[in-house]
Amino acid sequence: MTFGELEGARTVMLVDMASDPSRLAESWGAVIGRIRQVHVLFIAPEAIDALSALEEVSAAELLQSIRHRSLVPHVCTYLPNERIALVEHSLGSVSVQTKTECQPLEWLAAFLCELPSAGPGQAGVEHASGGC
Amino acid sequence: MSLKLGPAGVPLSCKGRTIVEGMDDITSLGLDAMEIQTVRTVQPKHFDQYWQAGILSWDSDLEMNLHGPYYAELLGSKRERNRTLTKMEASMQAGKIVNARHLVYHVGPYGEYEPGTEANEQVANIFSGVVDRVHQIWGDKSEEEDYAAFPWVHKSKPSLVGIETSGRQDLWGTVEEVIEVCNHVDGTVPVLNMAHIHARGHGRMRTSEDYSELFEQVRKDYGGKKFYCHFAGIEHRMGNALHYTQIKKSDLKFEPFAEFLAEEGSWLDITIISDSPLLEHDAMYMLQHYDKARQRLLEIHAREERRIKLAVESGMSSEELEMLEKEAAEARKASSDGEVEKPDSDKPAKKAKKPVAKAKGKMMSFDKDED
Repeated sequence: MTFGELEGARTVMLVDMASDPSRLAESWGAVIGRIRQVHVLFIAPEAIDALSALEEVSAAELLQSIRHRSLVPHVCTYLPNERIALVEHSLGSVSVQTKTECQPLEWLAAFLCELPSAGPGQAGVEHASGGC
Repeated sequence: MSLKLGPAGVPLSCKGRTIVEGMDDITSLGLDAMEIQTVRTVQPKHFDQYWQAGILSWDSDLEMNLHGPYYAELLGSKRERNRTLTKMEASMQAGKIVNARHLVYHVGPYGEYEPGTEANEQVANIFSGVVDRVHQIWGDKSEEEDYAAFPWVHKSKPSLVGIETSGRQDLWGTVEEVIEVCNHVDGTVPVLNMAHIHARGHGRMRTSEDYSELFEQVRKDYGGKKFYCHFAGIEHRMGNALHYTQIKKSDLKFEPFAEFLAEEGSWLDITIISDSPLLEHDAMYMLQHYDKARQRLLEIHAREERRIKLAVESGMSSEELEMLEKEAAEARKASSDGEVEKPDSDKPAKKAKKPVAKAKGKMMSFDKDED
């Protein structure tokens, strides 16, 4: 997990697989303890299945479920093989295929770069998601 | 009045990450409450941290509170309900060890229930069981020796079970629903999450009168003077909370709440937890605003007392003096308006000053009297 700060109070949290998978529940517990302070929650694609098992929801519903439960403004992931960015945000859901293939963290960097200027609405998030 | 303020979690500025280090930080910031969250059963490695927090809380005035699972489905299917209750059990166990004064729980979506009596009865039944379980955990005589080092387990009352208001239309937890259940289950208290109430009420918490109305409603329908509240900024739309923000960026302001607390809150015993993204920063911000509101009130009282004293000295009634002061204030205002309206006239300053002189003349006599 890494913390980064944007605009002072805005915090981005990256959730990836723990090096010791048996400690994932503990790591996820630490994320939840801070969930109200997180503005963008990025879940690495390899952590999605493990987290959905932990949360007892299907992988397809995981992002939406976390977004609804925690009220984190943006919950997102990027699937590099399909080039698909999935973002659950305060005003809806976005699924965008990026023009080029990139690594998940590259996509996140591009998303964070575009988001402040694109705006928080559906169109803005859609635009920011297709950036890489 | 007793007001306790604190953050929901280890402060962001705290260098350490443990609860005890967080408590130290909170104390040094001049705050006096903390809410923590547990997400799983208390494992031996967490136990150390929890009991240290409990002892620190027992030895100091820092109030510890505990938030249950961040999401609940108490009105869901049997499987969903049991899953939630398992998580709640963990927080009840932890609550005993950290000497939590409140255990705060959500109820979750309405599920198959329609809002109304049936849903409320189901929630009341569940919370009745939760309260029983909390009492069972705290009052286990056979464990008295094991918990000899934790005096609060035997000397304090068990944690109160707080039922939190919700911020979305599809979740159980309007103020009315929460109060109704709390009225029916001893050992429960309403947890007023102002951000949720504001969002669900389409931005209803705007003035100090709105807070007055809310607390009056709770006092009338529920009774008691102990309150546990959450406060944070919130973005909302169509009566639904979207996400939390820092207080400064939200249309939910703390100033009216502070004003209400300073002016009408003398009967309250209240704990306010900041669950804003800025945690302790916003808790400090709230404390500052509360102090400012109190200061302003003291100034008003001092002015009032001075007016009465002056009135007595000059042989006038307080009302007459107030009227005279109003006239003087109006004259002052008229003169300043005159200055604004005629900025380019030949002698604006001298002309504008005339009414002030008149007003001063009236007031002078009182100043003399005062001297």
